[in-house]
Amino acid sequence: MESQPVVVQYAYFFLKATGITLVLSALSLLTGSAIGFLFSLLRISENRALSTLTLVYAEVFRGSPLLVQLFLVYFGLPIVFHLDVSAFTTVAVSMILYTAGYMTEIFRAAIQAVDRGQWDASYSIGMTYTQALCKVVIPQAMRIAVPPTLGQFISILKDSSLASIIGFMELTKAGMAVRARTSNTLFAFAIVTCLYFMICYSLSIASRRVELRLKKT
Amino acid sequence: MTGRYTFDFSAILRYWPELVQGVWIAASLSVLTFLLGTAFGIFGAIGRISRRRWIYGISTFYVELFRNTPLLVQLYIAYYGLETLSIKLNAFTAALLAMSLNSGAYETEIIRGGIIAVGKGQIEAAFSLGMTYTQTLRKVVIPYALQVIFPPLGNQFIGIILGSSVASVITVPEITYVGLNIGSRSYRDFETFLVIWVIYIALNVVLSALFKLCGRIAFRPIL
Amino acid sequence: MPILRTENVNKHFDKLHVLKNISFSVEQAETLVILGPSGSGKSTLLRCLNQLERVDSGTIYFEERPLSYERKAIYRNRRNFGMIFQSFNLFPQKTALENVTLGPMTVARVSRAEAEREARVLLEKVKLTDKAHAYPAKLSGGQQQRVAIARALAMRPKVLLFDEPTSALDPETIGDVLEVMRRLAQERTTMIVVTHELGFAREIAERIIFMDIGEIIEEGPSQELLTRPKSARLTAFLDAVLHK
Repeated sequence: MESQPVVVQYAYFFLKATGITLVLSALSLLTGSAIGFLFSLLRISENRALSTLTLVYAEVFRGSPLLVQLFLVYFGLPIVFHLDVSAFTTVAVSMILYTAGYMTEIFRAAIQAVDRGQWDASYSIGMTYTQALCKVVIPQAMRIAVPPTLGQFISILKDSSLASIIGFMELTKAGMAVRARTSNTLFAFAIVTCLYFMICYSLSIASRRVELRLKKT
Repeated sequence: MTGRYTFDFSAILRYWPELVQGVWIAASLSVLTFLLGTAFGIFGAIGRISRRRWIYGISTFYVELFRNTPLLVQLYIAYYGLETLSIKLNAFTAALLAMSLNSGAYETEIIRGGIIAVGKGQIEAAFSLGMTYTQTLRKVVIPYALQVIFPPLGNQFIGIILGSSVASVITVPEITYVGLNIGSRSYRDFETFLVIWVIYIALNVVLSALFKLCGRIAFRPIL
Repeated sequence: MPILRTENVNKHFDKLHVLKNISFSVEQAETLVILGPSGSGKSTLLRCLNQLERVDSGTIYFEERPLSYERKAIYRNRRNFGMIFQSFNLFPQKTALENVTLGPMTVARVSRAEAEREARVLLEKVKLTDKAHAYPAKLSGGQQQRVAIARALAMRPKVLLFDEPTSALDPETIGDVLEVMRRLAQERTTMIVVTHELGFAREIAERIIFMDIGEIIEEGPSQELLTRPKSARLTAFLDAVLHK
């Protein structure tokens, strides 16, 4: 690598950082969605305690800054749980908890957006609550949940920039590193801005197309 | 492995005056950001519904640029980036600039949504009565649009307050910055941030309730 | 002298030729119904009269003066007309009374006291005095439409334009709106009513123009047109409705 021209080295460096950003974001989205989905089922259950607990969880993690949550995990894991973890783990844990809060709400809203008549029809043919939920309602809810989930992914991509603050090497940190190396602040920031913009904007356009396609049927 | 950990909150609660200072800075930054952001939002919304291509183009570029890049990067550019162009802003001003431009992009879409929500029907009815463009705007469009945009703007404000925590990175002495400060001095970072966390949550809960109440009082039950 | 006259009016929506050489006239105090199936262009024609839509070619004469498309002229022209819409289009944030007073106060610069006095008279005319302070959301469709009529009348228009006024109403409430319109006809108000509902047209029309696919197919006194149609298309239209 050292023998390559400088431009190529920097290009490789930025691309690698972008890849890390994407991986971190995708991981957060997938895991956060899994948790959020489970929580959403608890949220709509008739068990008052579970419903309230998941409500509080969602409100707390959506209603506080990600940065603060990040610091809590950063300081908390080693101190309270005596765990010595990498920056990646810290960031991943924090972002997963944060995303789960949002995904709980997204899935809850999607399930409740499914027409009441679907439940009636399912019960009329003798289905139980669980059967109606799994066979009829959830499949429809998933379609409704796609656009907001895509939007959430775009948010996560931007929020991942906060990981740079605790030293994790993702795209923003890469930009700061290059800035330090080259003393060319504008170059570094320009590249970083362009990369974020290209990824988020294309996803945003794709999301709008998906939404239109889903509306048609 | 969760060994024993003795929580000690007294260490940070001693610093409560500094925390209050931090809240004050965060609040003023947020309010100013919101006001400026709304101004940008109004211009942006007008631009986004304009039929002239270049006005539409510029406003769309503004919205997409600031909504598709992280606030952190925008803050860095305002504070460190502008410096290289010989524009040295102090931390607060840089944060205000970045955050208000950022918020303005989101508010543009909110306000535009409010204008669109009014619907062709009412506008045509106003025109049919002989009202001019300006009169229709003032008497029909704006009152209705205001009601539509009130809840999302309230959420936007809360979002600004939560987002202000990122300004700590460019040394703005708001709540999170104070927290890092106290934490490093007391060696009780975890407790400090638990308190900071609660402060933000409390701000969120109180402001949400306040906005809901204001909304109910200000707008008669139309629906 | 007819109060309103069009001469070879044409309009296109993109490639679609919506109005084809439309020429007709309306006399003062007449109740004219423009009848036709959906998509015949009749609503578009109506909207060209108060310049909500712009014609591509041809001229519209109001009191023998051609309509100008200069902005101020458009605003002034609109005050000659009052329009009642299919979906009512009441201002949802204002009470019935406020809906009626907004026009006079804003456009005609009438004082609030005067406007309210007038408004109450009009609301009484449409039999909604007790609903003066109700919001549109609390009113039925027929009531909303009657408020809409009062709102249009408040501007003292010379011609009333009705765009499918009963198409969004329950059959029961149509009667109330019909009654108001009959009264207006009795008072010699000039009215142009666009509708695809034959029953309604029959009740209200003195003269009917039948339109289809952008053209005027037939016109004449309503009795004659409906009982002895001359064109194939009108015959088909009447048959289709009767056999519903």
